[in-house]
Formats: sequence, structure tokens, C-alpha cells
Amino acid sequence: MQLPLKKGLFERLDWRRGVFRGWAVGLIAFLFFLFLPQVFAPLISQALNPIFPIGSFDLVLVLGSAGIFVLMALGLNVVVGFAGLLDLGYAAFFAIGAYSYGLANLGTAQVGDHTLKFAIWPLLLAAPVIAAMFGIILGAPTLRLRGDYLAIVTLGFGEIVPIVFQNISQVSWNLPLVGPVSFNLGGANGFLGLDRPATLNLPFQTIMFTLNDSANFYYLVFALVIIATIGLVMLRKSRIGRAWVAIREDETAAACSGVNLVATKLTAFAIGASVSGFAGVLYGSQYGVISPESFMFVVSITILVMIVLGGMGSIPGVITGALILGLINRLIVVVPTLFQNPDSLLYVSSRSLQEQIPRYLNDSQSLIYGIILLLVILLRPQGLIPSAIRKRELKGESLAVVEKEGSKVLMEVPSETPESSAEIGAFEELELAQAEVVVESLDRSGEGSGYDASPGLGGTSGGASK
Amino acid sequence: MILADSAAAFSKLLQAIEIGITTGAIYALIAIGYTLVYGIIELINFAHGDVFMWGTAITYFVLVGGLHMNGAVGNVLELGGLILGLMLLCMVSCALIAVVLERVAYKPLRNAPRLAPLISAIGASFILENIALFFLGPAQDPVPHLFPNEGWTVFGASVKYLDLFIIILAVILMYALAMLINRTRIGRAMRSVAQDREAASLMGVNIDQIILITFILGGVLAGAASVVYVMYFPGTSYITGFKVGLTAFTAAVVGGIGNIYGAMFGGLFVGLVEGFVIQYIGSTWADAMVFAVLALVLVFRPSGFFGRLTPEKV
Repeated sequence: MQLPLKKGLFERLDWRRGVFRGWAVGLIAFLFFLFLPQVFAPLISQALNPIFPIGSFDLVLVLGSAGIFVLMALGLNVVVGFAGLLDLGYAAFFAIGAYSYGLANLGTAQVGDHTLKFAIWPLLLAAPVIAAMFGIILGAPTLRLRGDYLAIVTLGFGEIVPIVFQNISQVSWNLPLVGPVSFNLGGANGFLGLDRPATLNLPFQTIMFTLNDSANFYYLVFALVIIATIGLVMLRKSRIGRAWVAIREDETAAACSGVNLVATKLTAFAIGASVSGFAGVLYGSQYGVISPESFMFVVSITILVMIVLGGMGSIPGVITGALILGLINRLIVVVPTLFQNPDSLLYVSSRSLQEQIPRYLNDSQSLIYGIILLLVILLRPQGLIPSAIRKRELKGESLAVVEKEGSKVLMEVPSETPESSAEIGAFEELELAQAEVVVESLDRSGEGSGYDASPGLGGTSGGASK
Repeated sequence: MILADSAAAFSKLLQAIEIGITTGAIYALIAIGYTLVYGIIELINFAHGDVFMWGTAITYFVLVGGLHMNGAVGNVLELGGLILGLMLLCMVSCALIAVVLERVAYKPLRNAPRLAPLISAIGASFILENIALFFLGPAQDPVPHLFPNEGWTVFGASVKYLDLFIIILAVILMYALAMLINRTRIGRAMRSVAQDREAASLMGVNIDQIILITFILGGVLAGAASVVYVMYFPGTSYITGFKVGLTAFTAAVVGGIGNIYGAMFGGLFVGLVEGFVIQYIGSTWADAMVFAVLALVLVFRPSGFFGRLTPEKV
């Protein structure tokens, strides 16, 4: 329901509007993370000193690593959140991105007479393209499959790719045009010793951008996350974004409305895969080590938990969920060392405890993810920060037209619907609670008067059919 | 010379077939669990493999932790009693776990959009696996061979007593299930719920009860399969459910998901594929090949061998 209203600046900056609040919070978060390494990180480290002594914990490094997860969550959000295609093999594209960085960077690959040795920058452009190609290749067979089968097939692909990387070491082909091609995939050991320092060759100056420095790495990741977010927001508002939502809600109806199912689904896979490939390159450059074990099924599920927790389909939600779980993921590695550190509050003197606690923490990580997944989907399926569409479906916020001294303003007025989905019995009722607005009378004084909330005239039945 | 080579090749082939049939029987029992649940509520029970895995874990604990078995049991009566006891225990426990699973993870989401129960299943599977990780540890947990390691040699392929036992057990259980589904009142109720849930409830069938019984049946069969699995391989680990579950699901899909006879056939098929891959290519590729088979079947014939292509109703 798009009413052609002129929104003046005053009306747009109204603090009562949820949209304005959302953007304000986003701006604050952006500024916080932007100035984190210089300003906030030392402050936070000081504050956390009793538990995390100085030197044991590098907040900037941890956030940089978590940022890679944020990128991957954004990518999976396109496939699962926007387009509704449950992809359980997402780690495969991550692996492809990381391995393409490894192959191009290590200097052991030979094409014809040339030895491939690229720095990180051209790979940040090339790896997404390669990953997108694989996304299309792996997505193509799944086009006709429904949700459950799609999940299983993507799971299968997600398992096949690391197994392939694990088992194949040396590949030598003789291609007709290019000549002999040989490269080493590293087998079970993966790659070691990838480039960390990277020179950035600008036309006027050569900048040595060492990735060894955690702040530099953090800024790189931060910039890429911002670019990805902007790109994805633009995509979501575009025609293809609407096509994705249409596919998610009801494929058959979308096809009947003229949405090209094949192109739209493949685009979703390609974009999701390319963002993941992006993240893979960053992952490879983070420590310089790539091993096939870090691309197993657990990674795919971790990302899935992030977007379910944050709110499927909502970009701020996904970023929040990814940050929370990414931090937990990174901290589970750091916290065990604190138990041995005498300066920290968490120090335990018993030797056996020092060994047992890290083991328990590590083992329980996946358990926590499973529990979070189950609890969220049972109790708050819309996630922490629901997407705008979900919020309207579940909370039934209605839009009232208010006439204010001649100019009409669109304001969001919450209607009397239950707070949480747990109060409503079935999901179908939730979707029917979407309120349509009929304006009965408008006061001259401009109060939001007489709106009639009638449920579900033409409300979507969505995926709840049968 | 040539005769010896071809004889060796023939016995290798026969051995592959024999391994295939034996493991196929185990996969078939688990596949029936997947297919029953899918037939009734159109949900892929991701966590069924982990129910099976818990059966193996319980068997492991009883054998190694409780009874401190360390070798083959000579006396046939003792062995039979042991196996019977284990089977009853595992059948009951797996059925219990399946019931809890259904009540906690699936029942609240019965009317939710399709994505929700799927995600819930994944979450439940993860929880089951990781609780087992605490108890079983990350490595393989071996169990000593209980069955005497003897058998017959048929044309160069060795068929052990255990293999025959597995096959006979699977056949008996599947026959019992088929009788249950086709000849009893409850079986009729199950078939009706699978056909049309609302009409069945209009006819007086208690849907919740039938769904519960379906899960119980799947659990019982998985429990039986888990006991023989532990004795065949021998041993288990927390990730066993994931791998075996995926293979069994492939079997169910290959045969036509929702079709019980299809699941039996699919189990055999996948077992044979795996047997051949292990014999001729190498065991590291077994998983990948099974997934590849799954992908191929789903792409080219998603209804499986015995399923019917059902058009999607709008």
C-alpha cells in the first residue's frame, strides 16, 4: 500500500517513527565501529581488564574475525532470508573463495608457462566472480526442488566440496589452448604461508598495507561489510529484491505473476556465493592458513544460526546476530586461556580444571548453537530484529493517514495485536493479523482519528498453506 | 592364470555385493523411519539419524561401560539373550527419544511455514549430536567383536554369521512392519493420515496419536538397526548419526520417499553402491559418492524409483 504522500523533512525526522529510530541506531553503531580501534577499543579493554587482562585479548582482532562472519551471514541472508531457499551447504562457497585465494597467492600454481602469484586486491574482485560461477553451477540442479529437498541437496554439496579438497592434492591437466595446468590443492593439510602484507598500488602512491596489523585488517573488513550492506540494501529495494520476496512467499504465484524463477533463484545463489567467496578470501588472508576442516558442515550451520537469531531477511538483524555469535565463537577460543592467566578474575589454580574447562567450552559450542536455533524458532521465529515485512505481519502495525495543516503525513500507529507470536496459536493467524487501513474521517486539527483496522483483506497466506 | 584372476575378480564382486546387502539392510531399517515420518507429516526428520546414533551410544555404554565385554561370546544362548536384551532396550529408548523429539521440536510447529520445522529439525539434530559428544567423546568408540568372527565362504566371498543375522533380522522386521501397515486398524489409520490428514480426522482418527505412533515405529526400527550396527562395524561415534542418517535418507529418496517398499529397495540400492565404491574406489570417497547419487536422483527423478510424480497443488 503505497500512498503518494509528500514527506516533508519535519515529518521524516519524527522520532516516533520506527524507521527513523532504526536509522539513528544504525548511524550510532556505524560511528561506534568506525572509531573503535582508536577510541573505543582501549576504553573497553580497560574496562574489561579484571577479566581480560591487557595483552590476552585483542578486541580489534576479535571483531575483525567476527566481521568475516558478518559478511557470510549477509550473503546467506540473501539466499535464505530474501529468497527463502534454505541453503545448508553455504560453507562450500566460503571454501571456494578461500581456496581460490590460496591457489592464486601461494605461487605453486602453473598455467602454461606462468606461475600464478597474485596479491589480495585483484583476488577480492576475482574470487566473488569465481564463487558466483560455482554458486550457479551448484544451484542449477536445485531449481525444481522444494524446500526440504533443496536443503538436503545443498547439504550434500556442502559436504562434497570439503571432501574433494581434502582428498585431492596434485592436479595436472593439459588443456588445449592454455597449455599444461598444474596446481596443488594441499590435500588434508591445506595451505600454509599465504601472503599477509599486501601492497596497494594506487596511481600516485604505493601504500604498504600490512594485514599483519589487526587494526588494518579490521578496517578492511569493516569497509567491506559496509560496501556489502549498501549493496544488499540496494538489491533488496530493487526489482530483483522484490522478486526474491515473491519467490519466498509463494513460488507458484510469483511464477504466475511473471517472475522468472530460474533467473531469480540463480541470481540469489550467485550473489550469496559471491559474498561468501569474498569472505573466504579475507579468511585466507587472516592467518595465512587454510585447512579443509574449517569448511565443514558446522560452519554452514553456524551462519544459519546467526541469521535465524538475528532475524531472517532483515539486514540489521542479521548483522546483529552475526556479531553476537561471532563474538561468542571467537571468545570461546580466548576465554580458556584466561583460566590459566593469574591476572584475570577467572583464574583457577587447579591444573585439571584448567584443562577440562576449555574442552567443555569447545564441545558445548555446537550444543549452544543447536539450543539457540531450537529456542529461537519455537519462541521468537522472527528473530531479534525482525525485517520490516515480518514486523508488519506479526505485530500488525497499521499505517494511519493523518492530515496536518493541509499536508498529509504517513505515520505508523501500533494497533492492538498480541506482542509475541507465542500468544497466537498458529502462524496462519499471525499472517492474517496484518491490518488494512481505512480512513473514515480526518480532523482539521490533525489528530490521527478514525482508522479502521480490519484484518486480512487480501492478506497473504504465504507459505502456511497446507 | 586368467582363471585365477577372473576368479579373484569374481569373488571381489561377490564380496562387494555381500557387503552391500548387509549394510543395505541396516540402511533400509533406518530409511523406513525417514519415509514414514515424511509420508505422514511431509517433514524430513533430520534428527532421525541422531536417534539411531543414540541407540548405538546406549548399546556402547551397556556393552563397554556396563558389562565390560572384551571378546566374543561363545555360548549361543548367552549371545542370543544379550542381543535380545540390547534390542529391547534400544528399541524402547530410541522410541522414547523420538517421542520427545516430536513433542518438543515438531508438534508446536505443525502449522508453521515450511522453513520453521526444518530449522527446528536441524537444531534438534545438533543438540542430540552434541550431547552425545559429551558422553562419547570426539573419537570413535570401538566395541569388541561379540559375534564369533566366522562364517562361510561362498565362491571366495566371506559371509559371516553376523551378516546373515542382520539380513534375517531386517527381513523379519520389515515384514512385521508391512503387516502392521496393511492388515491392522492402526495401519489403516496411518495410511489414511498419510493420504489426507483432514479427511482422516473427520473420520475419527486421532491425528496426534497416529503421528506419535509413526515416530515410535521409526524409533523402534532405528533401535534395532543400532544394535546390529554397533556389532557390525564395530563401534560408534557421536557423528555416526549424521553420516548414516544422510545415507539412509538417500536410500529413502532413491526408493521414493513416502513409500515403505521404496525405502527397503532404496536401502539395498544405496548399500550396494556404497559396497562397490568401497571395494573398487576407496572408502574415503564413499560419502561423496552417496551424496552424488542423492543429488542425481533428486535432479533427474525426484520421486525416486517407486514414487509417483505428484504435481504441486496450488
